[in-house]
Amino acid sequence: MSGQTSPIFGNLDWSVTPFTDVLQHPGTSTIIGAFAASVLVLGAIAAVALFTRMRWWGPLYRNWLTSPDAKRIGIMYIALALIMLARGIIEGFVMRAHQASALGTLAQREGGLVAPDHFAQLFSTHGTIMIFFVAMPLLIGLINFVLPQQLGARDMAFPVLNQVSLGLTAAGAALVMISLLVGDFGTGGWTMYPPYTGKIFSPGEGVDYWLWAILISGMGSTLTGMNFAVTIFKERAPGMHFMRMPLFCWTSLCVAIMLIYAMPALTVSSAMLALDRYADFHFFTNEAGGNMMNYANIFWMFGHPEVYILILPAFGVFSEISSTFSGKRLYGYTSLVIASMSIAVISFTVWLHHFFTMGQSAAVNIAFGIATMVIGIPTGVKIYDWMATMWRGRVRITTPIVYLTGFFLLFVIGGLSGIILANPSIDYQVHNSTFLVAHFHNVIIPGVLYGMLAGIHYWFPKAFGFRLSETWGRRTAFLFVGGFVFTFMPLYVLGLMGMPRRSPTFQNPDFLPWMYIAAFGGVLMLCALASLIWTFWTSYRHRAALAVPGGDPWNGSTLEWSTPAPVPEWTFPCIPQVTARHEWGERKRAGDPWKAPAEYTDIEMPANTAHGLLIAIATFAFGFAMVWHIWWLAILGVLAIPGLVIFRAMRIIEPRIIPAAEVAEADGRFRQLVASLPAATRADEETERNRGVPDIAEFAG
Amino acid sequence: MTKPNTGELDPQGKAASEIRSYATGFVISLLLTVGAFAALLSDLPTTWKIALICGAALVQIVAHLRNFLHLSLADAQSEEDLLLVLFSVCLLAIMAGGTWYIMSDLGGRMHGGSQGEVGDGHMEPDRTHR
Repeated sequence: MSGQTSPIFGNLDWSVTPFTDVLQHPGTSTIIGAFAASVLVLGAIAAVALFTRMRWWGPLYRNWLTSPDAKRIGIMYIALALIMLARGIIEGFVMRAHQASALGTLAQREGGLVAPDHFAQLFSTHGTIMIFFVAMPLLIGLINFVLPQQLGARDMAFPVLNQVSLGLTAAGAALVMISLLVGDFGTGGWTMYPPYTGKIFSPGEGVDYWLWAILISGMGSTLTGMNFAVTIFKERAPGMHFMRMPLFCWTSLCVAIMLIYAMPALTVSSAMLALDRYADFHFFTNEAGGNMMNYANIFWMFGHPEVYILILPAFGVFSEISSTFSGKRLYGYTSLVIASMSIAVISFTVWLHHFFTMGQSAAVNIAFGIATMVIGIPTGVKIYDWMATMWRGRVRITTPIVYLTGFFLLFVIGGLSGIILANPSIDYQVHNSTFLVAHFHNVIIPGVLYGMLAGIHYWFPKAFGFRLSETWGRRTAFLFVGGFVFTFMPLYVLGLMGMPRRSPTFQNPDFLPWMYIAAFGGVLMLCALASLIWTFWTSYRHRAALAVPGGDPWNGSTLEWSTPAPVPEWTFPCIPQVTARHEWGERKRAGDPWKAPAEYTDIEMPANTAHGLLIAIATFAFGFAMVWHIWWLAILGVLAIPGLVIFRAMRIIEPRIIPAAEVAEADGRFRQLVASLPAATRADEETERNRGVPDIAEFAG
Repeated sequence: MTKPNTGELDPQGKAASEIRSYATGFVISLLLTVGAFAALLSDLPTTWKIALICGAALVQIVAHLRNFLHLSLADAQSEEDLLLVLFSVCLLAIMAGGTWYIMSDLGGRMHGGSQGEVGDGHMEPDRTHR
C-alpha cells in the first residue's frame, strides 16, 4: 500500500493481507486477524469442496441463483443474513473478550487481546454488518417470503428487480467479507463520520470498503422498497382490501415507504463522502467551506427511519404469532395499523436526537427531544395490544412465544432507556458512553433479532416442509435472552460509571467486574449462535418426524397456511377470493377450508434468468476496483451494469407457463393428502402427530 | 385468473404515445439541464444564478414525474397519485426544512451569525468533548 498506483493492480500488492501482517508484527492482534482470514478462506474452500462433492452447483444455479421466485429470494436473503450474523456475533465476542482484558496501567496504557486500530475495525465492521447485512437481509428476506403469500399474490410485482436487489445486497456483503482478507476496513464506526473518515485522516482503503458496500447495498434496499410498495398496492388478491391485510403486510407497507424515502438520504451522504475522498470535493472537509456537521444531519435523516425499518417487521411478526399461539383473534387490529403508520411517519421527524451534543441551541434539541418521546406512544399501544391478545388465550409456550416474552420483558427496558436518552440534558451526560451502546442493543436484539428468529421459526415449515425442533428452538431462545441480559445490562452500569463507548482501553479497575460479566454474556451469545445452528441441523436430520405436509402446523388464520408445505412455486393453485380479514380462519369457521377450486387455469411464472447474478458480479467488481483504484476494472464494471440492463431490455422474454393439468394434479394430490392425515389438536402441536392438518374445531382466532 | 407479471406494454395501442411522452420529457430535461449550466456560466449575480438553477431543478422534477413516472392528476389513478405527491412533499419538507432549521442554528452558533440564537453562555459544546 505504498508508492505508485499500478495501472493493472491499482493499490493492491502482497502486503495487504493479514498473513503478511502476522509475519511482520507477530502478536495476539495480528494472529486474530490472520485467524479470521484463514476461517474465511478455509470456509470458502470447504463450501466449494462440499458443493462439488455433492454435485450441488447445477441445482444451486438452476433452482436458486437464477430463480426470480420471491420465496426463494427471501430464503437466500435469510441465508446470507445468517452467515453474516455468525461473523457479527463472533466479532462482538472478540470485542467483549478484548475489553475484559484491556485494563490499562500507568506503565502500560494499552493492553488486551487486539491492537487499538484492530479494535476500531472490529466495532466498525460489527455495526455495519449487523445493521446492513444481518438485520436488513433478515427482514427483507422474511417480507419477500411471507408478503406475497399473505396478500394472495403469486409473486412480487417485479420479480427480476427483486433478484437484482438481492444481488446488490450480496455484492455489498461480499465487499465487507473480502475486507477481512484483502486490506483493512474503516475505523470510523458504522456511521463513518467525517472529517475523520475524509482522505486526510483516513487515507487507506478502509472507508472506501464501507462506502461502496453501503452505496451498493443501499441501492438494492431502495429498489426492494419500491418492489414491496408496488406489490402491496397492485398485487393484492381480489377482495383483499387494505383493512383486511394481515398486520405483517401493514408493517411491510410501512417498511416499504420508509425504505423509499430514507435510503436515498444514505446514498446521498455516502456519495458526497465518496466525492470528497475520490474527487477532492469539500462537502465535509475542515477547510474550503466543508461542513462535516451536515454529514451527521443527512446520515441520521436515513439512520433514524432505519431503526424503525428494522423494528417494524418484527412488530408484524409479533402480531401474527401472539394471535396464532394464543388461539385468539389479534386485539386492536385498527389501533395496531394506526400505530404502525404513525411510527413510520413520526420516525422521519426525530433524527436530530442522534447528535444532541453537536452544538445546536437548546430550542432545536428540545423540539426533536419531544418528537422522540412522542414516538414512544404508538409503540406502547402496540405492546398493550399484544398483551391483550394473549390475555386469557390458550397460550402455547412455543419457541416464538419464548422470543415474544423475552421481547416484552427486555424491549420495554430498552424503550424506556430510549425515552431517558430523548431528554437532551440527560443525553449530554451519557452520550458516547456504553449506556448508549446498551440502549441500542437493548432495542435491536430483543426487538429485531428476537422478532426475526421468531418469524423464521414460525414460517420455516412453510418453506421447507418440516418444523424446527421446539426443544432446541426454545434452548436457543433462552440462550439469546440470557446472553443479552448478561452482555448488555452491565454496559448500562458501565456507562453510568463513565466508560466511553468504542474505547479500546480503560484505566479504572472498578470497571473490571462488569467487564467480566459482559464477557460471560458474550460466551452465552456464542452458545446461542451454536445452538441456533444446531437447531437447523438437528431439525434437518429429524425432518421425517417433523414433516408437516398439510401446511398448517399452527392452526393459523392467514392465507399462507392454506397451501402445502413446502409451498409450490406458484403458491396458490388459483388466486383466492378474499371475503374477510382472517380469510383462512373464516374458511375454517365455515367448515371444510380445504375445498378444491372449481377450475384450474394455466399459470404464468417469470422465467429463470441470470440477470441478477450478472449484475451482482458486475457491481462487486466495480466496488472492489473502486476500493483499490483499479480503474480499468471499475470502468468495465460500471459500463457492464447498464449494458446488462439494455441487453435484457432488447430481448423478448417469454414467461414460463405451468399447464393447468399439472397444477390440478399437484393440487389434487395435496387435497387427498390433507383428507388422509389425522387432525392434530392443540395439545399435539409439538408431537409427531402434528402433520400440518390442525383440528379446525379448535380454531378460535 | 392468471396475468403476466413481466409487465409488457401493449405493442400497438399505447406504444406510440408512450414514446412521444418519453421523448418530450427527455427534451425538456435536457433543455433544463443545459439551462442550469448556462446560468452558472453566465454573468448574472449569484443570487439569480442560484434561483435559476433551483427553479430549473424543480421544473425538471415535475417533468420527470409527469413524463417518465406517468403521474397524472386527471385520470383513474389521480387520487392515489395526489396522495403520493402530497406525502412525498410532506416528507421532503420535513427533511429540507429540518436541515435548514438545524444547519442555520449551528451556523449561527459557529460563526456568531445572526440567523440562530447565540449560545446561552454556560454550555460551550466544544468543551463537552475531551
